Amino acid sequence: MSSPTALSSRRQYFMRQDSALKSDPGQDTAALSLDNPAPAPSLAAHVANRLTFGTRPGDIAAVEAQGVDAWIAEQLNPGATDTPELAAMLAALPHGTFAESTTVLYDRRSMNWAEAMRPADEVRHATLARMLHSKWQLFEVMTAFWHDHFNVYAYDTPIACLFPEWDRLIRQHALGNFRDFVTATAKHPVMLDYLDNYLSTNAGPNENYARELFELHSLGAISYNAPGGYVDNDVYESSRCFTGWSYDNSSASPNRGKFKYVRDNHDRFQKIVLGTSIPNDQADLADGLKVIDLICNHQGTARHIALKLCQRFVSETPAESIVASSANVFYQNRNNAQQIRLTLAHIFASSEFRSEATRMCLLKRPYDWIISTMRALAIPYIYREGEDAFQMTYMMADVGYYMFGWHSPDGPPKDFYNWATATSMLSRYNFIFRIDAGWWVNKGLTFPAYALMPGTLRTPREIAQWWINRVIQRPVSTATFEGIMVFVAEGRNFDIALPVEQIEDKAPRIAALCTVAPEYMWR
Amino acid sequence: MKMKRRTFLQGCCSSIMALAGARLGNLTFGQGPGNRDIIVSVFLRGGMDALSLLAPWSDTEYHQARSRLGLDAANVIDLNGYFGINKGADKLATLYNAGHLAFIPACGFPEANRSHFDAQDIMDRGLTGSAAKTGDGWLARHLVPSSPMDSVFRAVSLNGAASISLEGFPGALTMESAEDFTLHTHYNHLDDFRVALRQMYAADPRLSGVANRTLDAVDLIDANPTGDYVPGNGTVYPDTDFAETLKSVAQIIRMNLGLEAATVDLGGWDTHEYQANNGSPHQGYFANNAKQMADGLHAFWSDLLEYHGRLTVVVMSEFGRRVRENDNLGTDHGHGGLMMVLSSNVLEKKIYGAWPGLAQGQLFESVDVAATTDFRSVIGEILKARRGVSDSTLATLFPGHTYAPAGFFLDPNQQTNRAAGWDMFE
Repeated sequence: MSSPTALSSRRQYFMRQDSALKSDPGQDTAALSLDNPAPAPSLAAHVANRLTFGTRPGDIAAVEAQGVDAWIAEQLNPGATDTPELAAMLAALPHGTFAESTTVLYDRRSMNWAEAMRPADEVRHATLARMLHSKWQLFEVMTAFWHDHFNVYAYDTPIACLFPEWDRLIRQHALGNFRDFVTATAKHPVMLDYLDNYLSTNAGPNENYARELFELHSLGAISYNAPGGYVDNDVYESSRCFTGWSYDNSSASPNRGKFKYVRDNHDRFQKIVLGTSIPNDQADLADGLKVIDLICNHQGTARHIALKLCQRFVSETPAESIVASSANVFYQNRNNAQQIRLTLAHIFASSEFRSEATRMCLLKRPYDWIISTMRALAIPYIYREGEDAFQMTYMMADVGYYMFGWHSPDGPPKDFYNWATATSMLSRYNFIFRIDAGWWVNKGLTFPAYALMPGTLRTPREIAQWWINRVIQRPVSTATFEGIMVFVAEGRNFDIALPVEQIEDKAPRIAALCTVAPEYMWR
Repeated sequence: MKMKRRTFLQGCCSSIMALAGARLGNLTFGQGPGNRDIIVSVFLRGGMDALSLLAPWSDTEYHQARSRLGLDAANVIDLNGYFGINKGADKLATLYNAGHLAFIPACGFPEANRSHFDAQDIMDRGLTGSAAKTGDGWLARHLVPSSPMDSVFRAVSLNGAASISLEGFPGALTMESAEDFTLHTHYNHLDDFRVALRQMYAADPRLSGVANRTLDAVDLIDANPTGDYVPGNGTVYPDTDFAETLKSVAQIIRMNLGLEAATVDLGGWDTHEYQANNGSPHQGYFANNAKQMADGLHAFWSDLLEYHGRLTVVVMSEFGRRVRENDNLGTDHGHGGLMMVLSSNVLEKKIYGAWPGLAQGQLFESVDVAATTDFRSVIGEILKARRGVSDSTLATLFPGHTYAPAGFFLDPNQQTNRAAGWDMFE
């Protein structure tokens, strides 16, 4: 019963558009086919999106001005200084848990819940501040990458208490040597606690850590039961190698909250890992360090890490050529202190990374989309004690992802299938629609719009184009352009000046709409 | 909010109806048949320790391997003199005694794979080998050809992220609850936003499907206002995340929008340490999680009494855990696990499948419970009996798998619905 009316209305709707177009003699009507896709963005736009948490107005031009290669080189070598905005936001964190010693942090485990969680909360706030405002965007991207790779669930004791140390560890190694990185994580109480190795003894080894060390941290599931890879027995034997790797949890000890090797709990007998015999009665730690050596000197680890890096920076299904060459760079530099940095430099210089075909092919995760939207619209992130429920970290929980709150060791999903969902789309729409509707003005979540627009902008066509340029910052499909222009026009002619009051009223909603355009979902 | 959008449906300007209304019309007036059978697939993520849920409590090998975690007569509700239900999950015994819950222990797949993520891929996709990483989900492969895409609500994941079992189904929805699945903005702007969204996404081939589906679902929920959900039969859901999620499924079922499959996850089963209190193996972490599961399923089942005739719940986990406990009151990754099927059509009150035993020579690779019933045969039995899947279709659904039913349902050729004889207080 609905279709006749609907169809005729649809026809009328397009006729009205057509007549509006005809009133513009300069318009190329051929370009207005609804299925005309968005053209590929420039290389500078590609790099400025892919290697950051999103472009602010002017960012792409800055990359162009500096030159793509020089900009990448600079990002790969972050300096000590950062932006004043970031410094102010970090200074606003009132508790300073970053500066607390290990014992002070660890003792928080027996304080009330808020105090026990405080260090993780402050890391989260600081991380958001850095994602929004740090000049060293690639470094923040890599920090997030490794937090996901060595995922732990932060909001439990003592992990939350020690989380500033964990974050420092991640940052220290983010562009460095992978074996050093794995060794540091293997010995840190946060990982020892999260994957239970601190409990593992010769009386009955706990396999949790050893399994995920192989499957998630190093050789990867691609190497499990694969030729030249590892099998369950390597996991069992490795768990024996790591028995006794624990941390000091004695309340009276001056070393509480720090790594501790418990010789009496170590299985001192012979093991065989990846075909290599590990003799009995080795020196303290030698068995576990040998396992780390074996896996970090393994081609399978190079392949797994290279694949993950390519999936983050090139394509969800990267060409074999770039995976193989990146794995080779990673492997050849396995003893180099710059191993990760060199691998990234190789990827960013590659034709696969720079090809037009890979541009804007990665869906922003909801989390990344939120950060990019806040960067593009200059939505402030204001830390307020006790008001965390209104901070955007909770909105991310709407889509099943609370920062540092992913429970299982695989880390939050990265792929298109997991995030191209109704929940994810709706939560994005609602994030910006609520801000536009003023739901959280009293929390500081608002953004300027009309005040930014040049007064000369008056017609729907001009206004739509201006906001697309400012927020999306690349050419869009005709469908998107039309959608935004119709939204601006409210039934008026696209090329006739709108009343100023209408522009003023609508400006924030036009900006909001641009952030949920399909082009803005990709990077 | 909801009222404003209803107003939109009744009298918005024609240009808006042109874009949004045509789609709405199809959905609102062309709903799929409301009486297809519904499968609710519950996945216990992390590797549920089947030996602590359905415990072989009178088995001496069991107690030898589990000197601290082993459940004895005092810790279980005995079912048949050999198996008993962990007392923490006593509601499962209620469902079993009502004749509605089939236990199929020693379930799994042939491969030796003790990785959570590999094993979950195998079970979510119903595929083994390399196809387990790349193929479509088993629910998707079943749903796509089984009936037309006549409802946006044919399949729903209530897990936040999308379920792998639905990967490849072009109409999968994700939501946390139907009640909250709505656009939030000032109502004056809502119509303009939704028209613009529909138009903008038309030219993005990778996102237009999900974008339209999202708005279709918002519109449809709005057109079928539920108000606060009142569960049926006086059911009070427990105050747990899992029960809340099942309540959302129940609500969607009662909206009669054409739901055929829902997927629900319950995590927290990777119990490498402290899974039970020392000296009290039916209490502690595992028992609490098992109670959450059992109480949630029981509430869901009593809520949906009127739907029992066409509702099947299947519960699975990626593997069972090592027979021998570790030194931390925990258990490591194992092999054969447990599947459960909740249905008013279960044939009889018994433990299904072949129990392989726990003696050294009976274990898989000398350490784990062997898998004597393939999980694909359990799913296949449900699809055959309840979803009209033929033997030949089943063979293509699970390539390389030889169907060997555990026999908890009648063969579909002889299938007659049992009279619903459910008494939740039995």
